[in-house]
Amino acid sequence: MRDVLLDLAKRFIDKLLEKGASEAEFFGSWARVRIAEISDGRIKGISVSDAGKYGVRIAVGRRLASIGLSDLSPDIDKLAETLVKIARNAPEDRDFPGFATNYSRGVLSSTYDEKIAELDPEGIAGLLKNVVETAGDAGRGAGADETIVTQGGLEVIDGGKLVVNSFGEHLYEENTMLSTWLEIKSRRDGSESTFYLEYGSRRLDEDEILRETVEAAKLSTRFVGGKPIESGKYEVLLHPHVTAKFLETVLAPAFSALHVQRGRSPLKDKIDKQVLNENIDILDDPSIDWATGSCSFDDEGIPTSRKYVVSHGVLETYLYDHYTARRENKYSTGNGFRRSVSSPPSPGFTNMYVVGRNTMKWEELIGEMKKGIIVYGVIGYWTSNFVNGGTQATVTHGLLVKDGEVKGPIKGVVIGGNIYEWLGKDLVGVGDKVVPLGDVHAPAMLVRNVDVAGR
Amino acid sequence: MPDPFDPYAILSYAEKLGADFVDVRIQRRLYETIHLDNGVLREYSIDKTYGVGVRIYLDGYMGFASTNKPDWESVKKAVEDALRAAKAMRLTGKKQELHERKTSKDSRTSTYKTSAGNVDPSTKINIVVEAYKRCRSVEGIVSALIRYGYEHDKRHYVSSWGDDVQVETRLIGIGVLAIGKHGEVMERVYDADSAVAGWEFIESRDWGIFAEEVGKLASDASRAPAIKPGVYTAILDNEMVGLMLHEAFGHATEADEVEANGSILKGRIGQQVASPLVTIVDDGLIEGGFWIPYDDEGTPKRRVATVEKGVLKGFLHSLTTAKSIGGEPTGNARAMAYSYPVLVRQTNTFMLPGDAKPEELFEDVKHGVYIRGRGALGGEVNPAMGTFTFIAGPSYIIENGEIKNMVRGVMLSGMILETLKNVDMVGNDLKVKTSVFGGCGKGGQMVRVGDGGPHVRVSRITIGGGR
Repeated sequence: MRDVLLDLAKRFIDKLLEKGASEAEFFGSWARVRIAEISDGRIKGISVSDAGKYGVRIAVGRRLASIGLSDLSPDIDKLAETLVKIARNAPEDRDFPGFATNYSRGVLSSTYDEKIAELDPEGIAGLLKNVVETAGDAGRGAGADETIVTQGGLEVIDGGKLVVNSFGEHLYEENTMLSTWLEIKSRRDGSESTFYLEYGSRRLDEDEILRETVEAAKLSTRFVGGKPIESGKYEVLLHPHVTAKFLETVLAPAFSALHVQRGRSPLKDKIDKQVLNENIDILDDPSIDWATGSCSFDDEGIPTSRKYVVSHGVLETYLYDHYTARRENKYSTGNGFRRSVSSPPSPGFTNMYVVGRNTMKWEELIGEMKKGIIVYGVIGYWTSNFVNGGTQATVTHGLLVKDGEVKGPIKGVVIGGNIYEWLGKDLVGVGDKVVPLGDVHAPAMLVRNVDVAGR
Repeated sequence: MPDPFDPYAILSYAEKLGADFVDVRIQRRLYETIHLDNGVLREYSIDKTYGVGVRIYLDGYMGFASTNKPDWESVKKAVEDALRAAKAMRLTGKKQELHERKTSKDSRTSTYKTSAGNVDPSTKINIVVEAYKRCRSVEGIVSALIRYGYEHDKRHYVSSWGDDVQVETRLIGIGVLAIGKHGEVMERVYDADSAVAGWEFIESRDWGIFAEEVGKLASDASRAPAIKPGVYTAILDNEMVGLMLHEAFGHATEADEVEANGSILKGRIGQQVASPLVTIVDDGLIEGGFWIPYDDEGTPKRRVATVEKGVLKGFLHSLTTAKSIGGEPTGNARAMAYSYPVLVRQTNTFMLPGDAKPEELFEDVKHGVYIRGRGALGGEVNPAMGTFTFIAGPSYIIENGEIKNMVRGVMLSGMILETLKNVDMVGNDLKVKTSVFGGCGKGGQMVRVGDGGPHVRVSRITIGGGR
């Protein structure tokens, strides 16, 4: 597929220059996806897809336009004409510095696992069957009368990405991905509770998947018979996955130089200032082996690099793509990623790695709590607001803690506050284990003064 | 050599290989986006998709494969992959049967006057630029993004039962994100208006006024306090009711959730699950909503009342769930694109209007909140735990029946089996909305939906939120 995309890129770029484009860039990706899905403990279907797609962006002077296609035999002449026409009609972007050049690779990490690429439908079905059986055994081992995976799936992907510009440069990289998601339900004494497992990696590590499954199955037994609690201020201990969800939504976008330059990041004018608790470091780290955000170059061919974004709670840098960097007369930090093949790049993390300088064990964090809740699962967290740090979610899986002792499960609770206070003056402690969820690697965090809406 | 995306050639090939049932979905889709960020044209893009998905049943096992490579060898390989996937399930898989129904043969196109594809790009850009200027003219607005979106989707469904259904839909709209700042506090408000229509929808509105309204709301919201967490009496406007129903009931009535043992509504047909004032409908053809005359299994989309006068009446079905848990196919098997297998999805979810005038709902509320949908971000549900949540736009405190000051950061939370029992008044108004910029996500697939209803009063609901 690399050669098909590269050939298309060259033909598109030649034609676009002929039709009047000043410069052009091509971004292509392909993926071979295999998914097995579960319903009520059994595999209900296996799907296979094989597709390539690509986007072409052009400039006529400082006027821009783009097209995204999955058509691998396109009418290049006609499309090039349309694209040039759209660009000519577009208002000028006076800040446009030209498309990125000087392509190269930055940090190199392990991102391609042959075992994933070779996994066929039979292999996927066998692996998923093992996962489902392991969940059932682990749940029953933890005291459930019955534990099943009600819904879920396992997806494996091998694919590649290609960037090409009209200055004769191109870069290509292949990677693999395995993800699994399981809704595990346990029944005990006639009552039910669930837990949702999300797991992703660029390698196939069956032992690790089964370990995660066992943990999730055990947790699925713990939320039977949740009770409402009184509204008020509580200490809240966020499970690493919950921390990751909040950070991804409410904190990560604020580091984007685009949001800063457009006046919608609360981190504007805060370089070298204390923005979070001094116990917190945040890195952009594309070098983590097998992590889902690891890559050697970004979506515009710029090398990625490992760097501190926040050190001791002090803001060190924003994340830049080529466009935002040139506006400040800087170089891109290698963080230009595209929402879709035809989108312009926007600054974002490769892997967001959040870590405490002084850390505590999970049990020690619980021991610190007087009146609090441990939050294992949330919904609606993604409505948290990066423009002001407003943070909120409804707790689906939570346990009440009194004087360091875990009491029963809770229900019907909204937690709310502001991420800069939670990770600032209200941060009590940071867990010692940094756990990945998607591209965010985060520890548990214990926060005080959290608004809880309950009964 | 046949045309690679000729559905009948694909059917024949799959049948020749021994498939018991085959269906083929061919999709050609165009999505045009204009994205103006702080006055700069950040994106003018056109995305075109063209591909084929093949589903095969063999001995009761389902395999699915798709490709966008327009050559017969690749399409043949996709058919072989689907067959191989079905065979791979023999040891571990779940057998499924399809509910038989009358064969569908039809070709439908949504109503439009002027195809937006024929309108000059500069005309579209001018409308977006003007909306931006009007939004930024509002005092306190520090940043604004305007989006134009147009989707033209053509789907062709053919099955070995003899179905042949073509559906062509146009969806168009404009969205505004405004960020207001007051002192150190920033607040964002996003709103969009869309319609199943052509360019005439854009011409029918003054988008400058729309953008100004969103700007004014963001500016006011940046001055508003956060709501005090607690339990409130809430009056939900038309948009919020739709959002609540979609989350609170809609997902739990999707029969694949029920079949999987993942819905708290399993086994509750005939039970009182909401106040007798509540009737919930899923309808693919309601005005204002998204337009779905057939689902992606070629089944006509029927209007279904899942809840009638508070009693759970039935679930939303695909062909397989109708067979496995009992029921008629309702036309709710939908896929995001040709490359995904179908899931059971809602279409347009709304509550039927009641008798009360909307203003009567406020009359005896001593202390409550008027929950507004404009600027709302959406919602989410865990159908197995029975918990749902949704996030309102800037809303208003109600004191002694009167609408008072604005509050922001309003997140509502409820339990599926409890909250709708607390509905104690239902207005006589009805509005349903859809959007070209978003939809509903499930299992990694986003599909267009609509929702709405009348004004509704809920006597007790938990409200919290960020600040």
